[in-house]
Amino acid sequence: MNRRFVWIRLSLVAILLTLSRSGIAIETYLGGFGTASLSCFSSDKADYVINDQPEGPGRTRHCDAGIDSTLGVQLDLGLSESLDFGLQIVADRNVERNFKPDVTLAQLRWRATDALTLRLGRMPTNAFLHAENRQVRYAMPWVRPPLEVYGLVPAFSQDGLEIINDGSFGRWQTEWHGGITRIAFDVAASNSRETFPIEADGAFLNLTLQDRNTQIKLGYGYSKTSFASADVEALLGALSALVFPDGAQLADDLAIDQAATHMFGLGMSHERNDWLAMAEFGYRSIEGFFRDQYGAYVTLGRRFGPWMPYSTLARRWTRGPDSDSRAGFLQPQVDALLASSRYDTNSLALGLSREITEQATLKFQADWVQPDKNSWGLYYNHAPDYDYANPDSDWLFTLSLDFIF
Amino acid sequence: MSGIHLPFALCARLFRMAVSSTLALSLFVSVAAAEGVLIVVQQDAEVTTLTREEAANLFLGLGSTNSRLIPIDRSEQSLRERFYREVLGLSAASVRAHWAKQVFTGRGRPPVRISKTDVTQLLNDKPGVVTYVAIDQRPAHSRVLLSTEQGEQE
Repeated sequence: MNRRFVWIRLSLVAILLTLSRSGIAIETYLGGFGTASLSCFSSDKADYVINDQPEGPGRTRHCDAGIDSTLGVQLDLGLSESLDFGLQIVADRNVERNFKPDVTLAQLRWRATDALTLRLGRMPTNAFLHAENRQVRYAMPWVRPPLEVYGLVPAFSQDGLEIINDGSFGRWQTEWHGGITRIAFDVAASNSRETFPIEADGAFLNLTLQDRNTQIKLGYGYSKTSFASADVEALLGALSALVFPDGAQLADDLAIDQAATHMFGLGMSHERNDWLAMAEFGYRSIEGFFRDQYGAYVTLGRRFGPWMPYSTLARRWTRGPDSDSRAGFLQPQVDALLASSRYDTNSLALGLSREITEQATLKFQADWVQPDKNSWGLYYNHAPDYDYANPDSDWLFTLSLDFIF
Repeated sequence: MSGIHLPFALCARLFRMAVSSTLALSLFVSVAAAEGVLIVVQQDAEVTTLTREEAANLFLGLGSTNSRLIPIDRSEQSLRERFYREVLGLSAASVRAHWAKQVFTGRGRPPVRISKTDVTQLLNDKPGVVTYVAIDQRPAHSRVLLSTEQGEQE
Protein backbone atom coordinates (compact mmCIF):
# COMPACT_ATOMS: atom_id res chain seq x y z
CA MET A 1 0.00 0.00 0.00
CA ASN A 2 2.90 2.34 0.76
CA ARG A 3 4.26 1.94 -2.77
CA ARG A 4 0.85 2.87 -4.15
CA PHE A 5 0.90 6.02 -2.03
CA VAL A 6 4.39 6.95 -3.17
CA TRP A 7 3.71 7.26 -6.89
CA ILE A 8 0.52 9.23 -6.24
CA ARG A 9 2.37 11.64 -3.96
CA LEU A 10 5.21 11.99 -6.44
CA SER A 11 2.77 12.65 -9.31
CA LEU A 12 0.95 15.29 -7.29
CA VAL A 13 4.16 17.03 -6.25
CA ALA A 14 5.44 16.96 -9.86
CA ILE A 15 2.20 18.46 -11.17
CA LEU A 16 2.14 21.20 -8.56
CA LEU A 17 5.82 22.06 -9.08
CA THR A 18 5.43 22.21 -12.85
CA LEU A 19 2.40 24.43 -12.57
CA SER A 20 3.87 26.74 -9.98
CA ARG A 21 6.90 27.29 -12.21
CA SER A 22 4.88 27.74 -15.38
CA GLY A 23 2.75 30.47 -13.81
CA ILE A 24 -0.52 28.82 -14.92
CA ALA A 25 -3.54 29.95 -12.90
CA ILE A 26 -4.99 26.90 -11.19
CA GLU A 27 -8.69 26.71 -10.47
CA THR A 28 -9.01 24.92 -7.15
CA TYR A 29 -11.90 23.16 -5.46
CA LEU A 30 -11.67 21.64 -1.99
CA GLY A 31 -14.60 19.77 -0.52
CA GLY A 32 -15.42 16.73 1.46
CA PHE A 33 -17.93 14.24 2.75
CA GLY A 34 -18.40 12.00 5.72
CA THR A 35 -20.59 9.79 7.83
CA ALA A 36 -20.80 9.51 11.61
CA SER A 37 -22.54 6.29 12.43
CA LEU A 38 -23.35 3.78 15.14
CA SER A 39 -24.60 0.23 14.46
CA CYS A 40 -25.79 -2.47 16.84
CA PHE A 41 -26.16 -6.09 15.77
CA SER A 42 -28.30 -8.61 17.64
CA SER A 43 -26.05 -11.63 16.96
CA ASP A 44 -23.29 -12.77 19.27
CA LYS A 45 -22.30 -15.54 16.85
CA ALA A 46 -20.68 -13.36 14.14
CA ASP A 47 -19.80 -9.80 13.13
CA TYR A 48 -21.66 -7.79 10.52
CA VAL A 49 -18.98 -6.25 8.29
CA ILE A 50 -18.82 -4.44 4.97
CA ASN A 51 -16.31 -5.03 2.22
CA ASP A 52 -12.78 -5.65 3.53
CA GLN A 53 -13.41 -4.70 7.15
CA PRO A 54 -12.05 -7.28 9.61
CA GLU A 55 -14.57 -6.65 12.39
CA GLY A 56 -17.88 -5.01 13.10
CA PRO A 57 -20.86 -5.01 15.41
CA GLY A 58 -22.02 -8.39 16.71
CA ARG A 59 -19.67 -10.92 18.22
CA THR A 60 -16.66 -8.61 18.63
CA ARG A 61 -18.72 -5.86 20.23
CA HIS A 62 -22.48 -5.42 20.35
CA CYS A 63 -22.43 -1.83 19.05
CA ASP A 64 -19.79 -0.41 16.73
CA ALA A 65 -19.17 3.06 15.33
CA GLY A 66 -16.64 1.94 12.75
CA ILE A 67 -18.66 0.04 10.18
CA ASP A 68 -19.98 3.06 8.26
CA SER A 69 -18.13 6.04 9.73
CA THR A 70 -16.10 7.76 7.04
CA LEU A 71 -14.37 11.05 6.38
CA GLY A 72 -13.27 12.04 2.89
CA VAL A 73 -11.59 15.10 1.41
CA GLN A 74 -11.42 15.92 -2.28
CA LEU A 75 -9.19 18.36 -4.08
CA ASP A 76 -9.80 19.24 -7.73
CA LEU A 77 -7.28 21.31 -9.64
CA GLY A 78 -8.39 22.82 -12.93
CA LEU A 79 -5.12 22.90 -14.84
CA SER A 80 -6.58 24.22 -18.07
CA GLU A 81 -9.95 24.29 -19.80
CA SER A 82 -9.54 20.66 -20.81
CA LEU A 83 -7.23 19.22 -18.15
CA ASP A 84 -7.81 18.74 -14.47
CA PHE A 85 -6.50 16.68 -11.61
CA GLY A 86 -8.58 15.16 -8.83
CA LEU A 87 -7.40 13.76 -5.52
CA GLN A 88 -9.63 12.12 -2.94
CA ILE A 89 -8.45 10.81 0.41
CA VAL A 90 -10.76 8.76 2.61
CA ALA A 91 -10.40 7.56 6.18
CA ASP A 92 -12.58 4.63 7.13
CA ARG A 93 -11.98 1.39 8.97
CA ASN A 94 -9.54 -0.63 6.94
CA VAL A 95 -8.26 -4.16 6.90
CA GLU A 96 -5.60 -3.25 9.47
CA ARG A 97 -8.30 -2.24 12.00
CA ASN A 98 -7.46 1.46 11.95
CA PHE A 99 -8.71 4.59 10.19
CA LYS A 100 -5.52 5.46 8.34
CA PRO A 101 -6.43 7.60 5.30
CA ASP A 102 -6.16 6.00 1.89
CA VAL A 103 -6.08 7.55 -1.57
CA THR A 104 -9.29 6.50 -3.29
CA LEU A 105 -9.02 8.81 -6.29
CA ALA A 106 -5.97 10.40 -7.92
CA GLN A 107 -6.49 11.02 -11.56
CA LEU A 108 -5.69 13.27 -14.47
CA ARG A 109 -8.77 14.00 -16.56
CA TRP A 110 -8.31 15.25 -20.08
CA ARG A 111 -11.41 16.34 -21.97
CA ALA A 112 -10.14 15.74 -25.50
CA THR A 113 -13.43 16.80 -27.10
CA ASP A 114 -16.92 17.62 -25.82
CA ALA A 115 -17.71 13.92 -26.14
CA LEU A 116 -14.45 12.24 -25.19
CA THR A 117 -12.67 12.24 -21.82
CA LEU A 118 -9.59 10.28 -20.77
CA ARG A 119 -8.90 9.48 -17.12
CA LEU A 120 -5.52 8.24 -15.98
CA GLY A 121 -4.58 7.17 -12.47
CA ARG A 122 -6.64 5.90 -9.59
CA MET A 123 -10.36 5.91 -10.18
CA PRO A 124 -13.39 4.39 -8.49
CA THR A 125 -14.67 0.97 -9.51
CA ASN A 126 -17.90 1.57 -11.34
CA ALA A 127 -19.86 -1.58 -12.06
CA PHE A 128 -22.98 -0.48 -10.16
CA LEU A 129 -25.22 2.59 -9.93
CA HIS A 130 -23.63 3.94 -6.75
CA ALA A 131 -20.26 2.20 -7.04
CA GLU A 132 -18.37 5.37 -7.94
CA ASN A 133 -19.73 7.26 -4.94
CA ARG A 134 -20.19 4.39 -2.54
CA GLN A 135 -18.18 6.24 0.11
CA VAL A 136 -20.39 9.32 -0.27
CA ARG A 137 -23.39 8.07 1.68
CA TYR A 138 -25.03 11.50 1.54
CA ALA A 139 -25.66 10.89 -2.18
CA MET A 140 -27.53 7.61 -1.67
CA PRO A 141 -30.84 6.78 -0.03
CA TRP A 142 -29.55 4.06 2.34
CA VAL A 143 -27.11 4.13 5.24
CA ARG A 144 -24.92 1.88 3.06
CA PRO A 145 -25.31 0.25 -0.36
CA PRO A 146 -26.88 -3.23 -0.18
CA LEU A 147 -24.02 -5.65 0.48
CA GLU A 148 -25.74 -8.42 -1.43
CA VAL A 149 -24.86 -6.59 -4.66
CA TYR A 150 -22.11 -4.10 -3.80
CA GLY A 151 -20.15 -6.72 -1.85
CA LEU A 152 -19.55 -8.55 -5.14
CA VAL A 153 -16.88 -5.91 -5.85
CA PRO A 154 -15.39 -5.14 -2.44
CA ALA A 155 -12.70 -2.80 -3.83
CA PHE A 156 -13.41 0.94 -3.93
CA SER A 157 -10.76 1.95 -6.42
CA GLN A 158 -8.70 0.73 -9.33
CA ASP A 159 -5.60 1.99 -11.12
CA GLY A 160 -5.46 2.36 -14.87
CA LEU A 161 -6.67 4.18 -17.93
CA GLU A 162 -10.28 4.93 -18.76
CA ILE A 163 -11.98 6.41 -21.80
CA ILE A 164 -15.37 8.05 -21.36
CA ASN A 165 -17.64 8.84 -24.27
CA ASP A 166 -20.62 11.14 -23.76
CA GLY A 167 -23.43 11.17 -26.28
CA SER A 168 -27.15 10.98 -26.65
CA PHE A 169 -29.67 8.47 -27.90
CA GLY A 170 -33.16 9.84 -28.27
CA ARG A 171 -34.05 11.40 -24.93
CA TRP A 172 -31.23 9.57 -23.18
CA GLN A 173 -27.81 10.88 -22.35
CA THR A 174 -25.34 8.05 -22.85
CA GLU A 175 -22.04 7.59 -21.09
CA TRP A 176 -19.70 4.79 -22.16
CA HIS A 177 -16.82 3.90 -19.88
CA GLY A 178 -14.11 1.57 -21.12
CA GLY A 179 -10.75 0.93 -19.59
CA ILE A 180 -7.92 -1.29 -18.50
CA THR A 181 -7.26 -1.45 -14.78
CA ARG A 182 -5.49 -3.15 -11.94
CA ILE A 183 -7.21 -3.73 -8.62
CA ALA A 184 -5.06 -4.63 -5.61
CA PHE A 185 -6.29 -4.80 -2.04
CA ASP A 186 -6.03 -6.89 1.09
CA VAL A 187 -8.76 -8.87 2.82
CA ALA A 188 -8.73 -9.96 6.43
CA ALA A 189 -8.93 -13.57 7.48
CA SER A 190 -11.90 -14.36 9.67
CA ASN A 191 -11.01 -14.80 13.35
CA SER A 192 -7.42 -13.83 12.66
CA ARG A 193 -5.09 -10.85 12.37
CA GLU A 194 -3.80 -12.26 9.08
CA THR A 195 -4.53 -10.54 5.77
CA PHE A 196 -4.42 -11.83 2.21
CA PRO A 197 -3.68 -9.88 -0.95
CA ILE A 198 -6.10 -9.97 -3.88
CA GLU A 199 -4.98 -8.72 -7.28
CA ALA A 200 -6.93 -8.45 -10.51
CA ASP A 201 -5.80 -7.16 -13.91
CA GLY A 202 -8.47 -6.65 -16.48
CA ALA A 203 -10.70 -4.50 -18.61
CA PHE A 204 -14.25 -3.22 -18.33
CA LEU A 205 -16.98 -1.65 -20.40
CA ASN A 206 -19.96 0.14 -18.87
CA LEU A 207 -22.89 1.97 -20.38
CA THR A 208 -25.05 4.46 -18.50
CA LEU A 209 -28.30 5.78 -19.94
CA GLN A 210 -29.73 8.74 -18.11
CA ASP A 211 -32.47 11.27 -18.37
CA ARG A 212 -33.67 13.64 -15.69
CA ASN A 213 -35.62 10.95 -13.83
CA THR A 214 -34.18 7.61 -14.85
CA GLN A 215 -30.75 6.04 -14.84
CA ILE A 216 -29.94 2.65 -16.33
CA LYS A 217 -26.51 1.10 -15.94
CA LEU A 218 -25.09 -1.94 -17.68
CA GLY A 219 -21.59 -3.09 -16.86
CA TYR A 220 -19.24 -5.92 -17.75
CA GLY A 221 -15.71 -6.56 -16.57
CA TYR A 222 -13.19 -9.28 -17.23
CA SER A 223 -10.04 -9.83 -15.23
CA LYS A 224 -7.44 -12.33 -14.15
CA THR A 225 -7.65 -12.61 -10.39
CA SER A 226 -5.11 -13.98 -7.93
CA PHE A 227 -5.80 -14.73 -4.28
CA ALA A 228 -3.07 -16.01 -2.00
CA SER A 229 -3.81 -17.67 1.33
CA ALA A 230 -1.39 -19.93 3.20
CA ASP A 231 -4.19 -22.29 4.32
CA VAL A 232 -5.63 -22.67 0.83
CA GLU A 233 -2.22 -23.19 -0.72
CA ALA A 234 -1.38 -25.83 1.88
CA LEU A 235 -4.60 -27.69 1.07
CA LEU A 236 -4.04 -27.47 -2.68
CA GLY A 237 -0.45 -28.65 -2.23
CA ALA A 238 -1.66 -31.63 -0.20
CA LEU A 239 -4.24 -32.47 -2.86
CA SER A 240 -1.59 -32.42 -5.61
CA ALA A 241 0.88 -34.48 -3.64
CA LEU A 242 -1.29 -36.98 -1.77
CA VAL A 243 -4.51 -37.61 -3.67
CA PHE A 244 -4.35 -39.83 -6.75
CA PRO A 245 -5.32 -39.83 -9.54
CA ASP A 246 -7.38 -36.60 -9.58
CA GLY A 247 -5.77 -34.51 -6.83
CA ALA A 248 -3.58 -32.38 -9.08
CA GLN A 249 -6.48 -31.60 -11.42
CA LEU A 250 -8.77 -30.75 -8.49
CA ALA A 251 -6.11 -28.49 -6.96
CA ASP A 252 -5.84 -26.73 -10.30
CA ASP A 253 -9.63 -26.36 -10.53
CA LEU A 254 -9.87 -24.88 -7.02
CA ALA A 255 -6.91 -22.51 -7.20
CA ILE A 256 -7.45 -18.78 -7.71
CA ASP A 257 -4.27 -17.93 -9.53
CA GLN A 258 -4.71 -15.77 -12.62
CA ALA A 259 -8.30 -17.05 -12.53
CA ALA A 260 -10.66 -15.83 -15.23
CA THR A 261 -13.19 -13.50 -13.58
CA HIS A 262 -16.38 -12.16 -15.09
CA MET A 263 -18.38 -9.38 -13.51
CA PHE A 264 -21.76 -8.27 -14.76
CA GLY A 265 -24.05 -5.58 -13.39
CA LEU A 266 -27.44 -4.27 -14.43
CA GLY A 267 -29.23 -1.54 -12.53
CA MET A 268 -32.04 0.96 -12.83
CA SER A 269 -33.04 3.93 -10.76
CA HIS A 270 -36.17 5.99 -11.30
CA GLU A 271 -37.00 9.10 -9.34
CA ARG A 272 -39.95 11.26 -10.16
CA ASN A 273 -41.37 13.95 -7.92
CA ASP A 274 -41.44 12.22 -4.57
CA TRP A 275 -41.04 8.58 -5.50
CA LEU A 276 -37.82 6.61 -5.75
CA ALA A 277 -37.49 3.10 -7.15
CA MET A 278 -34.20 1.28 -7.60
CA ALA A 279 -33.22 -2.25 -8.57
CA GLU A 280 -29.87 -3.85 -9.33
CA PHE A 281 -28.57 -7.26 -10.23
CA GLY A 282 -24.96 -8.38 -10.06
CA TYR A 283 -23.15 -11.54 -11.10
CA ARG A 284 -19.55 -12.48 -10.37
CA SER A 285 -17.84 -15.61 -11.58
CA ILE A 286 -14.30 -16.51 -10.50
CA GLU A 287 -12.73 -19.74 -11.67
CA GLY A 288 -11.73 -21.67 -8.57
CA PHE A 289 -13.29 -22.40 -5.20
CA PHE A 290 -15.25 -19.12 -5.11
CA ARG A 291 -17.86 -20.38 -7.59
CA ASP A 292 -20.56 -18.10 -9.04
CA GLN A 293 -22.14 -15.41 -6.89
CA TYR A 294 -25.35 -13.53 -7.64
CA GLY A 295 -26.85 -10.53 -5.87
CA ALA A 296 -29.97 -8.47 -6.34
CA TYR A 297 -32.03 -5.86 -4.52
CA VAL A 298 -35.08 -3.69 -4.93
CA THR A 299 -35.53 -0.35 -3.12
CA LEU A 300 -38.66 1.76 -2.88
CA GLY A 301 -38.84 5.13 -1.15
CA ARG A 302 -41.03 8.18 -0.96
CA ARG A 303 -40.21 11.69 0.12
CA PHE A 304 -42.51 13.65 2.42
CA GLY A 305 -40.80 17.01 2.56
CA PRO A 306 -37.51 16.45 4.39
CA TRP A 307 -38.48 12.90 5.39
CA MET A 308 -38.03 9.78 3.31
CA PRO A 309 -39.09 6.32 4.45
CA TYR A 310 -37.63 3.56 2.32
CA SER A 311 -37.40 -0.17 2.14
CA THR A 312 -34.94 -2.54 0.48
CA LEU A 313 -35.30 -6.23 -0.17
CA ALA A 314 -32.02 -7.95 -1.08
CA ARG A 315 -30.69 -11.41 -1.77
CA ARG A 316 -27.27 -13.00 -2.33
CA TRP A 317 -26.98 -16.51 -3.68
CA THR A 318 -24.34 -18.95 -4.92
CA ARG A 319 -24.24 -21.53 -7.67
CA GLY A 320 -21.79 -24.37 -7.70
CA PRO A 321 -21.01 -27.70 -6.06
CA ASP A 322 -20.75 -27.98 -2.27
CA SER A 323 -18.58 -31.06 -2.53
CA ASP A 324 -16.10 -32.75 -4.84
CA SER A 325 -15.66 -36.50 -4.83
CA ARG A 326 -12.20 -36.26 -6.36
CA ALA A 327 -10.79 -35.05 -3.04
CA GLY A 328 -10.45 -38.56 -1.58
CA PHE A 329 -9.53 -38.53 2.10
CA LEU A 330 -9.22 -34.72 1.97
CA GLN A 331 -12.90 -34.36 1.07
CA PRO A 332 -13.89 -32.78 4.44
CA GLN A 333 -11.23 -30.09 3.96
CA VAL A 334 -12.24 -29.47 0.34
CA ASP A 335 -15.92 -29.30 1.30
CA ALA A 336 -15.06 -26.78 4.02
CA LEU A 337 -13.18 -24.70 1.47
CA LEU A 338 -16.16 -24.74 -0.90
CA ALA A 339 -18.49 -23.89 1.96
CA SER A 340 -16.31 -20.92 2.96
CA SER A 341 -17.59 -18.95 0.00
CA ARG A 342 -21.28 -19.64 0.55
CA TYR A 343 -22.69 -16.32 1.75
CA ASP A 344 -26.29 -16.88 0.68
CA THR A 345 -28.60 -14.57 2.56
CA ASN A 346 -31.79 -12.52 2.46
CA SER A 347 -32.28 -9.14 4.04
CA LEU A 348 -35.02 -6.62 4.45
CA ALA A 349 -34.08 -3.05 5.32
CA LEU A 350 -36.55 -0.50 6.64
CA GLY A 351 -35.20 3.01 6.83
CA LEU A 352 -36.13 6.60 7.49
CA SER A 353 -34.02 9.58 6.50
CA ARG A 354 -34.45 13.22 7.32
CA GLU A 355 -32.67 16.18 5.80
CA ILE A 356 -31.34 18.33 8.61
CA THR A 357 -29.71 20.96 6.45
CA GLU A 358 -28.93 21.17 2.73
CA GLN A 359 -25.65 19.42 3.53
CA ALA A 360 -26.59 16.87 6.16
CA THR A 361 -29.01 13.97 6.37
CA LEU A 362 -29.84 11.84 9.40
CA LYS A 363 -30.73 8.21 8.65
CA PHE A 364 -32.03 5.34 10.71
CA GLN A 365 -32.08 1.87 9.18
CA ALA A 366 -33.15 -1.48 10.59
CA ASP A 367 -31.89 -4.52 8.67
CA TRP A 368 -33.46 -7.91 9.21
CA VAL A 369 -30.92 -10.46 8.03
CA GLN A 370 -31.54 -14.16 7.45
CA PRO A 371 -28.68 -16.28 6.09
CA ASP A 372 -29.76 -19.37 4.16
CA LYS A 373 -29.36 -22.82 5.58
CA ASN A 374 -25.78 -24.03 5.06
CA SER A 375 -24.45 -20.51 4.69
CA TRP A 376 -22.03 -18.26 6.56
CA GLY A 377 -24.11 -15.21 5.63
CA LEU A 378 -22.34 -11.95 4.84
CA TYR A 379 -20.65 -12.11 8.24
CA TYR A 380 -17.15 -12.39 9.65
CA ASN A 381 -15.52 -13.77 12.77
CA HIS A 382 -18.02 -16.59 13.25
CA ALA A 383 -18.12 -18.19 16.68
CA PRO A 384 -17.47 -21.92 16.98
CA ASP A 385 -21.16 -22.41 17.81
CA TYR A 386 -22.44 -20.45 14.78
CA ASP A 387 -25.13 -22.72 13.36
CA TYR A 388 -23.99 -23.06 9.75
CA ALA A 389 -26.69 -25.63 8.97
CA ASN A 390 -29.51 -23.47 10.28
CA PRO A 391 -28.44 -19.88 11.02
CA ASP A 392 -30.59 -17.54 13.09
CA SER A 393 -32.11 -14.38 11.73
CA ASP A 394 -30.79 -11.17 13.28
CA TRP A 395 -31.35 -7.42 13.36
CA LEU A 396 -28.88 -4.69 12.59
CA PHE A 397 -29.83 -1.17 13.71
CA THR A 398 -27.91 1.81 12.36
CA LEU A 399 -28.14 5.52 13.07
CA SER A 400 -25.98 7.65 10.83
CA LEU A 401 -25.38 11.27 9.95
CA ASP A 402 -24.24 11.79 6.36
CA PHE A 403 -22.80 15.15 5.44
CA ILE A 404 -20.89 17.03 2.76
CA PHE A 405 -18.85 20.18 3.06
CA MET B 1 -92.24 20.67 7.56
CA SER B 2 -89.16 18.99 8.88
CA GLY B 3 -89.33 16.55 5.94
CA ILE B 4 -88.96 19.54 3.60
CA HIS B 5 -86.47 21.38 5.74
CA LEU B 6 -83.98 18.54 6.01
CA PRO B 7 -83.35 18.02 2.25
CA PHE B 8 -83.28 21.78 1.77
CA ALA B 9 -80.72 22.24 4.49
CA LEU B 10 -78.70 19.36 3.09
CA CYS B 11 -78.87 20.80 -0.44
CA ALA B 12 -77.91 24.25 0.83
CA ARG B 13 -75.02 22.77 2.71
CA LEU B 14 -73.86 20.76 -0.31
CA PHE B 15 -74.16 23.85 -2.48
CA ARG B 16 -72.11 25.93 -0.06
CA MET B 17 -69.51 23.18 -0.02
CA ALA B 18 -69.47 23.03 -3.81
CA VAL B 19 -69.10 26.79 -4.09
CA SER B 20 -66.40 27.01 -1.48
CA SER B 21 -64.59 24.03 -3.03
CA THR B 22 -64.76 25.62 -6.46
CA LEU B 23 -63.53 28.91 -5.05
CA ALA B 24 -60.74 27.17 -3.24
CA LEU B 25 -59.87 25.20 -6.37
CA SER B 26 -59.91 28.28 -8.58
CA LEU B 27 -57.82 30.11 -6.02
CA PHE B 28 -55.40 27.18 -6.02
CA VAL B 29 -55.33 27.14 -9.82
CA SER B 30 -54.69 30.89 -10.00
CA VAL B 31 -51.93 30.54 -7.41
CA ALA B 32 -50.53 27.57 -9.27
CA ALA B 33 -50.63 29.53 -12.53
CA ALA B 34 -48.74 32.37 -10.91
CA GLU B 35 -46.20 29.86 -9.66
CA GLY B 36 -44.92 28.94 -13.11
CA VAL B 37 -41.30 29.37 -14.03
CA LEU B 38 -39.63 31.03 -17.01
CA ILE B 39 -36.22 29.93 -18.23
CA VAL B 40 -34.59 33.02 -19.63
CA VAL B 41 -31.51 34.13 -21.50
CA GLN B 42 -30.25 37.46 -22.82
CA GLN B 43 -32.50 38.60 -25.67
CA ASP B 44 -29.57 38.71 -28.13
CA ALA B 45 -28.44 35.18 -27.37
CA GLU B 46 -28.19 32.69 -30.23
CA VAL B 47 -30.34 30.07 -28.54
CA THR B 48 -34.07 30.59 -29.04
CA THR B 49 -35.73 27.68 -27.28
CA LEU B 50 -35.10 24.82 -24.86
CA THR B 51 -37.11 21.68 -24.33
CA ARG B 52 -37.69 20.45 -20.81
CA GLU B 53 -35.24 17.60 -21.38
CA GLU B 54 -32.56 20.02 -22.62
CA ALA B 55 -33.16 22.32 -19.68
CA ALA B 56 -32.99 19.40 -17.25
CA ASN B 57 -29.76 18.10 -18.80
CA LEU B 58 -28.27 21.59 -18.68
CA PHE B 59 -29.11 22.19 -15.02
CA LEU B 60 -28.17 18.66 -13.96
CA GLY B 61 -24.88 18.71 -15.88
CA LEU B 62 -25.79 15.65 -17.93
CA GLY B 63 -24.05 14.99 -21.23
CA SER B 64 -22.69 17.73 -23.41
CA THR B 65 -25.96 19.53 -24.11
CA ASN B 66 -24.67 22.91 -25.18
CA SER B 67 -21.30 24.01 -23.89
CA ARG B 68 -22.02 27.65 -24.83
CA LEU B 69 -24.80 27.85 -22.23
CA ILE B 70 -23.99 28.51 -18.58
CA PRO B 71 -26.75 27.41 -16.18
CA ILE B 72 -27.18 29.66 -13.16
CA ASP B 73 -29.25 28.52 -10.19
CA ARG B 74 -31.26 30.77 -7.90
CA SER B 75 -30.69 31.34 -4.22
CA GLU B 76 -34.38 31.84 -3.35
CA GLN B 77 -35.37 28.48 -1.90
CA SER B 78 -39.06 28.43 -2.88
CA LEU B 79 -38.32 29.43 -6.47
CA ARG B 80 -35.50 26.92 -6.71
CA GLU B 81 -37.62 24.08 -5.39
CA ARG B 82 -40.44 25.04 -7.76
CA PHE B 83 -38.02 24.95 -10.69
CA TYR B 84 -36.62 21.57 -9.66
CA ARG B 85 -40.11 20.13 -9.38
CA GLU B 86 -41.66 21.68 -12.51
CA VAL B 87 -38.73 21.39 -14.90
CA LEU B 88 -36.53 18.61 -13.53
CA GLY B 89 -39.33 16.58 -11.98
CA LEU B 90 -37.17 16.10 -8.88
CA SER B 91 -37.25 17.13 -5.25
CA ALA B 92 -34.60 19.52 -3.96
CA ALA B 93 -33.10 16.69 -1.88
CA SER B 94 -32.75 14.53 -4.99
CA VAL B 95 -31.02 17.33 -6.87
CA ARG B 96 -28.60 17.85 -3.98
CA ALA B 97 -27.84 14.12 -3.87
CA HIS B 98 -27.32 14.14 -7.64
CA TRP B 99 -24.78 16.96 -7.38
CA ALA B 100 -22.96 15.36 -4.48
CA LYS B 101 -22.52 12.32 -6.70
CA GLN B 102 -21.31 14.43 -9.63
CA VAL B 103 -18.86 16.44 -7.52
CA PHE B 104 -17.25 13.52 -5.72
CA THR B 105 -16.84 11.47 -8.90
CA GLY B 106 -15.11 14.36 -10.69
CA ARG B 107 -17.91 14.92 -13.18
CA GLY B 108 -18.62 18.54 -12.42
CA ARG B 109 -19.93 21.04 -9.95
CA PRO B 110 -23.42 22.46 -9.47
CA PRO B 111 -24.43 25.76 -11.06
CA VAL B 112 -23.61 28.94 -9.19
CA ARG B 113 -26.55 30.52 -7.35
CA ILE B 114 -27.54 34.14 -7.69
CA SER B 115 -30.28 36.22 -6.09
CA LYS B 116 -33.09 38.13 -7.77
CA THR B 117 -31.18 41.39 -7.67
CA ASP B 118 -28.32 39.99 -9.78
CA VAL B 119 -30.40 38.34 -12.52
CA THR B 120 -30.82 41.29 -14.87
CA GLN B 121 -27.22 42.41 -14.68
CA LEU B 122 -25.85 38.90 -15.19
CA LEU B 123 -28.10 38.30 -18.19
CA ASN B 124 -26.97 41.59 -19.72
CA ASP B 125 -23.29 40.93 -19.03
CA LYS B 126 -23.07 37.31 -20.20
CA PRO B 127 -24.94 36.19 -23.33
CA GLY B 128 -24.53 32.49 -22.48
CA VAL B 129 -26.11 32.67 -19.05
CA VAL B 130 -29.35 30.72 -18.65
CA THR B 131 -31.36 31.10 -15.48
CA TYR B 132 -34.95 31.01 -14.34
CA VAL B 133 -37.39 33.46 -12.81
CA ALA B 134 -40.92 33.44 -11.45
CA ILE B 135 -43.42 33.76 -14.26
CA ASP B 136 -44.41 37.30 -13.32
CA GLN B 137 -40.83 38.52 -12.92
CA ARG B 138 -39.44 38.34 -16.43
CA PRO B 139 -36.37 40.61 -16.61
CA ALA B 140 -36.22 43.38 -19.21
CA HIS B 141 -34.23 42.53 -22.36
CA SER B 142 -34.55 38.81 -21.78
CA ARG B 143 -35.75 36.01 -24.03
CA VAL B 144 -37.93 33.21 -22.70
CA LEU B 145 -36.55 29.82 -23.69
CA LEU B 146 -39.14 27.79 -21.83
CA SER B 147 -42.24 28.54 -19.81
CA THR B 148 -43.53 25.76 -17.58
CA GLU B 149 -47.05 26.92 -18.42
CA GLN B 150 -46.37 26.48 -22.12
CA GLY B 151 -44.69 23.20 -21.36
CA GLU B 152 -47.80 21.99 -19.57
CA GLN B 153 -50.00 23.04 -22.46
CA GLU B 154 -47.79 21.12 -24.82
